[in-house]
Formats: sequence, structure tokens, C-alpha cells
Amino acid sequence: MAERAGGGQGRVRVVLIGAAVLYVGTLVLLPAFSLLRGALGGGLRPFVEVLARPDVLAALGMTAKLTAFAVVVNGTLGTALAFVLVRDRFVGKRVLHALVDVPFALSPVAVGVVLLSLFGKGGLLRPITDALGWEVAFAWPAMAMATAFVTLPFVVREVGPVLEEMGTDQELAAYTLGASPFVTFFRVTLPGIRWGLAYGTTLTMARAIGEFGAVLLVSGGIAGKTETATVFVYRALEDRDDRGAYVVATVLALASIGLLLLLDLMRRKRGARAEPGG
Amino acid sequence: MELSEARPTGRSRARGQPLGKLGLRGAAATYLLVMVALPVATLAREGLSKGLAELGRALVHPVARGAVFLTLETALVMAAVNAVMGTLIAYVLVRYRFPGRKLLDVLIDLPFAIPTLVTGMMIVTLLGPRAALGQLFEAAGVRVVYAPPAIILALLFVTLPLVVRTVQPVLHELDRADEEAAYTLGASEWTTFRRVTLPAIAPAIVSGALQSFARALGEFGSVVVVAGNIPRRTLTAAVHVFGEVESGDVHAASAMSLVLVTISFCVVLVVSARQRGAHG
Amino acid sequence: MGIVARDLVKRFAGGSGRAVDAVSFEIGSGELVALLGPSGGGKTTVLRILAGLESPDEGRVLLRGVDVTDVRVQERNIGFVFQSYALFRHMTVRENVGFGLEIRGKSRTEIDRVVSELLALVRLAELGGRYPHELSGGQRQRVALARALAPGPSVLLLDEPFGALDAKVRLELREWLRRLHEERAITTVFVTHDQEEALSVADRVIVMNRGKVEQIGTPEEIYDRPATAFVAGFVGSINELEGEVRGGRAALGSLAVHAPPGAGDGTSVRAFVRPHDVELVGVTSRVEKRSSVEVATARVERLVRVGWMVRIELTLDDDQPLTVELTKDRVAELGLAEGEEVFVNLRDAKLFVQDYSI
Ligand SMILES: Nc1ncnc2c1ncn2[C@@H]1O[C@H](COP(=O)(O)OP(=O)(O)O)[C@@H](O)[C@H]1O
Ligand SMILES: [Mg+2]
Repeated sequence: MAERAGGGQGRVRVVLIGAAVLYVGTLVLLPAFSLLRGALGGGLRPFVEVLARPDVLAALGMTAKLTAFAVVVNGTLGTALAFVLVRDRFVGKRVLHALVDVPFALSPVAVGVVLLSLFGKGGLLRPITDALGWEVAFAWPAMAMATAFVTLPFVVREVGPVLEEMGTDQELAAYTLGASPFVTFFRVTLPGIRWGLAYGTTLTMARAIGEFGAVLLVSGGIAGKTETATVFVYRALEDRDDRGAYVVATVLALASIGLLLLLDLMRRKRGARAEPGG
Repeated sequence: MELSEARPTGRSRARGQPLGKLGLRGAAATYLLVMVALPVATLAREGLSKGLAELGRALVHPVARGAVFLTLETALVMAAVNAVMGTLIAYVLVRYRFPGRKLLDVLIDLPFAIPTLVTGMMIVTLLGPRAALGQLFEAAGVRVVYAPPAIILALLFVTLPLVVRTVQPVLHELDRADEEAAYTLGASEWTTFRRVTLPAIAPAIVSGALQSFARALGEFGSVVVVAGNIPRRTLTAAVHVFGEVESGDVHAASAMSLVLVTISFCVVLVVSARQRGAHG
Repeated sequence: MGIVARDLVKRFAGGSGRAVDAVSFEIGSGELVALLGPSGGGKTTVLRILAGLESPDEGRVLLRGVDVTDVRVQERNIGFVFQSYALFRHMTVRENVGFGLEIRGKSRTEIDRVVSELLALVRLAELGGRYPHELSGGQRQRVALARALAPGPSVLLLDEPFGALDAKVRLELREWLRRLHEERAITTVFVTHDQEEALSVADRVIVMNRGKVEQIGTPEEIYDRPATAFVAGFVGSINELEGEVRGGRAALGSLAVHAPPGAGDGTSVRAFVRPHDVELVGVTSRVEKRSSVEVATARVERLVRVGWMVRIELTLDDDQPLTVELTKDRVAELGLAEGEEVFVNLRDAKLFVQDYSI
């Protein structure tokens, strides 16, 4: 789109662009740099030392594990949900549709509170889990549930519109060419939604890595055991372990910037393919 | 493939539902119900377990009431600033081409990607009592960190994408011919924006602002780090919930959560009702 | 028989009435047949029932003598070209065309051979590596055809195959489909709402309206002997005149033609007059009115040049509009101009007794 405007646009343009850049610069970039400086202030050596600490490694490992769980569960079930919401017609579909967005409207601490009232001391489901000998609260199952919950909408929201836009024509064409529904799903449908799925999964990852409030409440915060990276940072701040907090926070920030660039790349790739092709 | 080999398969054909597919769909729907409906029901049950009167009592406690008011106040201020600045940024991104535009566009999403706890730390390292900038403000007699301004700053950071990303596509879809028609009729850029563009994007701005408001109500990670959490002064509702859990009062935590969730839900419902209305 | 449709009925949930209503026809092996009718007439639904993409509520479908009503679409061995083409967007042209062969477990070398052959046939040999979004509409259409032909179907079904293309490409592809059919002799059914397309391409035409078959016949039969008022109106007519039978003649305002057989005096009739069946005798000021023929006077309202032809819009002296088409030369010969009075006469009209049974 070429840039055009009417009137004395020259000054207006400069002022508006300036305001936008200044605002985003001060609000986003400045704090980010200040964090980086704090972390790398003493050079790279202490940075590496912190990363070699067992409690830090365990926390990063726990975050990776929870993220993988959320990606796998929400990748598959989220895609299936998108199918149900786009393709099927049934009573109560609107309610189901509205439910998908609920995790976005729920405060992370509320999610933690819910899990505690279900699985915590005197929780509603506690008799069942105790009878089965499962340790849910203050252990990784509750943390996994919290992570999966807060990331549930991403894949559904990204895959749904792609599925809707794609329609069923390509699948029917595959049927007329002799492909079974199974083959059609893997050869036609899945490749058709792959960018939506990749995008949704990456968002899921970013959100899972950064999840803090819900996990904090249900983790119990046992160093080296039930701590995620974000919970570690919080405890380190409380314990005046500034170096540890800075380093892990920086690692998290860098990971999210990496994912962000990946998202941008995917958006551009997807954009190139978004025109109707057939 | 020969036709004569074809096997009749009864009434279930290409359009029929194979069992596997049905099973997967059932699993998906069940997953959603267990994961989302159950928690909401649990929250409602716990929050109301001792009756409405008790819920009210939990909320009129000065600390709780202060937390709710502070949360609403800061969220409101944030939403207003966000509406204006988000619209301005969206306008600049859609209408102007300038060096660094791509970068600006990508930066808008950064707050979504960065863990909120890390956001809080960023603000403290920049404006905290030990930071140069923080000491500058301190000398000028302005308290930023561990005070409401830092809460608003943190909320602005985490909700930055919401207004921009809601307004941007609408502005993009907007027919430029409308604006050009106004120019040919002699309207200035400002008049054109106010009379032609703004009315068209106003619903999106309101939607985005409401979404950021709802999001801010429950914000925890960034606020817990920057606010200082002094009861009745800088303790927000979400942090209050955390405190109640820490001190073992899950019931009070549930009550406050229920209030937060109810307000968020109402806002989200308004947003989605507006969106559905806008689509016809 | 290539294709037999027997009493097909289809109702859609939420739709009012029958989208397809007791449709029967037989199509011989190797025939090229058009399914013609206005939008919403049920053509696509019939085609999809033949393919197995839709199941009929009643009736049977036979392909090459085998009842396939309960056979899955995958096993009917048909080629289907979708109105939207439905090319697989994430596959190249070659991958699209080879898909059906791959599904059938054909060897790489055979797939390559058939795909190359077909791409040459549709003149896309150079574009095998492209993705659908890198092709023009006409090229996509040809890929869709090649893909449908690749597995060697016994029946080829096309839904509005040229609908979305511009006029020139449409003519080319039409011609090309005709030739392809002559070479391969696959039983082919294509859906169209364009009467000219149906009449110029197909061996036989099935005219459908409101879910029912109106007429089945060769293009000549459809054009020259429309079986119903609908067909007469839909195929080739612009002018529609009302009148009644008087003294063995059908009086249409100030014009008259022979009455339909068996229609007594006073019967209301509807006449469909093709633009080239109107004879423009001449300008009133310059020619004698011959009393032996029934001529009427009309006023020239507008002359519209459409390429080589001129469309002349007239108003008869009883205010009924009438459209005539003449060549440019003939208009010059007659010295026609807007506002002049002319004598007109009907050479032919398709007459239908008005049906008051509704
Ligand atoms: N999937 C469907 N659901 C409901 N009604 C349908 C569906 N498909 C077609 N119809 C209806 O059936 C009638 C015939 O449609 P169609 O076969 O597409 O006509 P054509 O191809 O001649 O334009 C139309 O009234 C249409 O609205
Ligand atoms: Mg159709």
C-alpha cells in the first residue's frame, strides 16, 4: 500500500510516528535492556556459573517438561476441539465455544485457587487421589494441569479459523480421488492447517514457559523439585539471590524473544500462502 | 479400481462418522468440559460455600475492599491510556511506512511472549530504588516502584498488544477511498480521522480496551514484583488472593477469585456480544 | 449405459422442500452431457449424488450398469472437478495431479509418466513445480481436470467448470473439453447455467429447474422444440409476449402467429420469441404496408451495438417491448435510427397455453 495522505501531513506524520516509537521504546525496550544489563553486568562468567547450578537446571528442566506436556495435550486435543467447533453442529455448541476462551478471562491465581480447592488439603477430589495414592497438589500433576489450562485456547483459536477458511472441498476432492478419510486427514487436512497449528503451538509454548501465578500457587515451591523457572526467579528475588534471578529471567526473556521471532517468521510464511489456492 | 469390486458399506459413507472420529471428538469435548467448566463450577462452589453473606463479609474487610478498589482504579487508568496509545500505534503501523516499522510491529507482541514475572523485574531494574532512573524520580519526589504508578506501568506493558492488535486489522480493512473522499471534499487529516476513520474503528478500540481491562484485573506476575504489596495501599486483588492462600485461608482466596472472575467474565461477555453484533 | 439416475430425491435439513425432486435420466457410455438450469435448480446436488458426495433420500444411481447407491465415493472410480477447483494448496501441480495415483499405490515411475503425459495434455508441462496460488484461473482449472483424469476414471463430473473464468479463456477451455472428450471418450457430465455453453459443447442437454428435469434432448431439440414454457424462456429467448387465441391465430397484441394445435378460441397463450425470429420489414415512411402479412408498427427506442450485431429495442404500438437483433450491415441498409417507426413481423414463436392450474 503506497503511502498517501491529504493536508499538511508532513509534521503530523513525524509527530505520530515519534509518539508511537517513543511510547513503545520506553514501555518495552528500555526495561528489557535494563534487565539485560543487570544480568550481563558482571560479564558472561557468572552467567554460566548460575546456569550450572543444580537448582537452576532443575527449574529449567521442569519448565521444559511442563511446556512439552502443554504442547502435546493442547496440540492434539486443541486441534480436535477446533474440528468439533468448526465442523460439527450440535446443541450447546455456543456454550462450548464460549468455554474455550474462559482460561483467558481467568486470573492465574484463580486457576491456582481452583486446583487447590480440588486437590489441596481438604480438597474436593482429595479423597479420590489419596485412595489412588496420587500426589497431585504441590507436585507436577497440578502444575501440568495449571499449564495446560492457561494455554488451552491458543491452538483452538489458531486452527479454528484456518479450518473454517479451508472448507471441506479439498477433503472431498481427495475422497473422489480414492483417498480414505484417514489418508485424507494426514495428506490433505493436516498439511492444510499446519501453519495455524504451528502458530498456535508456538503461542502455547511461549505462554507455558512464562506461566507463573497458577504454578506458584500449586507448586509448593520445593527447590530442585517442584520449581519452574519462573517460580525459581520469584524465590531467588525473595532470597536476595539477585544474580540467580537476573540470569534465569534473562534466559526466559531470550527464549520468549526467540519464540516471538519464530512467530513473526511463521506469520509471514503463512501470509504468503493465505491467498486462495484452489 | 474396478467398480465391480466396490463394497456397499450401508448408510455410512464419506459423510458418515467413523467411530474413531467420534471418539476423538468426544474426547475433545470432554477435555474442554473437565478442564474449563469444572474449575469454574468449583470456584463458584467454594466462593459461595458459606453463603452470599459470608462472601460479602469477606469483601467488606478493609484490606479486601482496598485491594478491589486499587485493582479497578489501576485497570481503568491503564485501559484509558491503552485505548489512546494503542489506537495511535495501530494507526501509525497501518498508515505510515518508515524505517523501523517492522521492528515496531514485532515489538508490540513482545509483552505477550515475555513472562509477566520477568516484566515486573524489568520495571524494577529500571525504576527501582537502586536504579539510576529510579533515584532520579525519587529525588524529584515521585515514587514509581512499590507504588500505584508502577502497577499501571506493568499493566500497560502486559496489555500493550490488545488494543493495537484489535484495531490494526479493522484499520487495514477500512476502505481508504472513504478517507480520500473526505480529503477531496477539503477535510484536513485530523477532521478526516475524527469524522470518518474514528467512527469506523471505535468498536474495535472499545473491544480492545475492555479486553485489556479484563486482563488487568487478574494480572499477578508483574504486579507482585513491582507493587510492594502493602495492604490497603499497593495490594491488588490478585496479589491479595495469593496472600490468603499463603496464610492458609483458601476460602477467602476463593471468594476474592470469584469476584475477579465474575467481573472479567462480564467484560468478556460484553466484548463477545459486541463482536457478534458487529458481524450481523 | 454409462450413468443411470433413477427417481433421485434429496431434501436438505433446514431447506424448504426438495432440492432434487424425482430426477431420472440415462447417459450412454462415452456421452458428453450438460446439466443446464438456473442457479439453485439442483444441478450441483445431482452431480454430487452421482459422485457419492451426497446420498439421495430416495432413488438409485448406476454407474456402468452397477448399482453404486451405497458405494463410498472413494470406490466409485469417478473424476470430479469442483467449482472452486479444490486444488490441494500445499502441493505442487505435479503432486496434485499424481495424488490419485499415489493413493492407488502406483509406482513412482508410472506416476511420473502419467503426470507428465497429462500435464502435456493440459499444456502445463512447464508449470509442474508451481503451487496453485502461483497459477491463473484457467491454469488452475486445467490442473483440476488433469488431477481428475489421472487415475483413469470411468466417469468425469464437472461442476460449473468454466464459470469463474473470463470470456476468452472460457471459450478456449470449452473447445478443449470437447476435443479431450473426443480423444478419450470418457462419459462426461458437466453442470452449467450458461445455455450457450451447454448447447455448443454437449451431445445432449438435461435442463433442470426447481429440482425437476424439464427436458432432455440434443441441443437442436432443446433449442427448436422446447418442451415447456420454462425451457423456451431459459434457452435463447428474450421476448415474452402474452395474448390469446382468436380465429385460429394466436393474437399477441398487434402481432399474430399461428395458434398452438388444439387450442380453442379464447385460450390464453404465452409466446417466446427469439430476437432473430422478428422480421424488421422496414421504416414506415419508406415501405408500403403489405396487407397480406400481419405486420405491426413499432417505435425504435434504442440501438445498441454489440460487436458485429446490433440489438434494437422496440416498443410495439400496444406498448409491449420487443428486442430484435440484426447485423450492422442490415441496420445500415434499412436506414434505422432511434425514434423512427418501423413495421415488424414474427417469423416464428414458441407458444405455450397458459397454465392456470396453480
Ligand atoms: N448442503 C445444503 N444444505 C441445505 N440446502 C442446500 C445444500 N446444498 C444445496 N442446497 C439447496 O438445494 C437447492 C439446490 O442447490 P444446488 O444443487 O446447489 O443448485 P445449483 O447447482 O443448480 O445452483 C438450493 O435451493 C440450495 O439452497
Ligand atoms: Mg451449483
